[in-house]
Amino acid sequence: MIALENVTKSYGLGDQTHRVLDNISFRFPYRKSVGILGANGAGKSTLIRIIGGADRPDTGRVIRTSRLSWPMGYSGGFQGALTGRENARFVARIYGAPFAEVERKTNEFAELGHYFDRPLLSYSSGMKSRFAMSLSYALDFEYYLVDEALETGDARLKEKFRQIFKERRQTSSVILVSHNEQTIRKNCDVATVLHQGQLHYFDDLDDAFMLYRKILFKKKAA
Amino acid sequence: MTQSQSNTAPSFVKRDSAFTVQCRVLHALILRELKSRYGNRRLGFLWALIEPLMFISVFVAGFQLIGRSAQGGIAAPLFFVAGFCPFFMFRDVYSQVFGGTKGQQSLMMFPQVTRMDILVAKMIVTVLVSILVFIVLMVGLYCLGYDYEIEDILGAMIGVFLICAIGFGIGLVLGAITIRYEFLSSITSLFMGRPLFLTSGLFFSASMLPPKVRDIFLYNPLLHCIEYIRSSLFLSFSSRYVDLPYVIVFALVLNSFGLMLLGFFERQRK
Repeated sequence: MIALENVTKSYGLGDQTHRVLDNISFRFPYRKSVGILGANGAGKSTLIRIIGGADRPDTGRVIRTSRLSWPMGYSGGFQGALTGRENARFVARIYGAPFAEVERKTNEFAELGHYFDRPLLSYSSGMKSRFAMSLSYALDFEYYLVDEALETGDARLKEKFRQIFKERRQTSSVILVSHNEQTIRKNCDVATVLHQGQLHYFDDLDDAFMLYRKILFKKKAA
Repeated sequence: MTQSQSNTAPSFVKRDSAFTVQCRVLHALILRELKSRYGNRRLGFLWALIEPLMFISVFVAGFQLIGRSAQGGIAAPLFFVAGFCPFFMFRDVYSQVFGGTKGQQSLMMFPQVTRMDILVAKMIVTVLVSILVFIVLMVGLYCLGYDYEIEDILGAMIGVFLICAIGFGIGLVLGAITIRYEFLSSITSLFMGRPLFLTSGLFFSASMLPPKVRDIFLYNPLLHCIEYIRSSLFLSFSSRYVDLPYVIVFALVLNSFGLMLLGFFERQRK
């Protein structure tokens, strides 16, 4: 289970404190793909950092009893001086997954060839994100945490990753954060809208989009 | 808020205990730290040897110039090795922990990796390497003909443990405070540098000091640790001034205070 329990997080801006997440409780449904829609500055990154444990909430707690991925495709947690294989092994180790399988699958998805045994520093940015994405898929997560970008590489690779993602959606849960309706429509079953520190849940995507548009246009009018 | 059903994970999925996960994470972080610090460079570990070696040579040479080849009843090189090595160990642990409290550690993007895991892994690697340096230098001197008899290896280990614990504690306290009050960093580096280098008994022992100076210096727990390590290592050296309970309490207070502060300031990080 991945759930938020009364999670509050504020950031200080001078004398004012801005409450980004205001007492949010939410249980992420199992084997569903949940979209989190939010306008710029609504606190999407904060939310993803808190779900993923990179930040701690001021009050409340995050329950993480399922195998949760790090934000998909994020490569900041890797060590540039180490090779792709060594980084894959590090990740396999912290998740308690078998090395050989993780290494094999990662290279199979990422198609890095002999670069798999070269330091990450020597990768192009495209290779790096391909590597990060593939490593996320090489581990069988129960929950995939996705921050915006799902697409990487050329048309063929894009299609390949799309296919893998489609398969994973059948067996795993997805938490996808985005400001883009299209991304949510393509990849999610249900959606929530993050607005003024609250998470509004909708079983139907269109209802979520309606609220989201209302919020966006009200903002522009103001 | 309505949520759909079937949102619980199947119960047959085996869960690892928190302890297992903790061990796994530490194991992975330690290997990663070792590999990235020393793995791909052949000279990596040699560099760790060179700094203490240089300091010790300079001091041995200096003492030779003023006509002294022994200090506190033991050969000068032995005396200095038993002073500089623990001190550098302390300093490295401190600076690793201090540095580790800074910045958004991108490693924390992995859900099960916490800042404390990162700090502990850094400390363990630093301590292991420093101990190895210490042993290499001690064995090296023995091979060069500096004879000594180790009195109490357990005592030396306790001394090393305590000096590292103090380094960890100071790193936590100062690291946590400077998350919020960054301007204090320059003051802390001033205070952590020369004053400690000069008062921790690297090149003297407490018994050589004038009583009044000694009373002041003995507030420095590092002096106690180094005296203790020396007297545990060498049969021919003993110290009347070591106050272990003082050091233990000092380390305990620093570490608990540091943990508290880090927990407090971590939430205020921007």
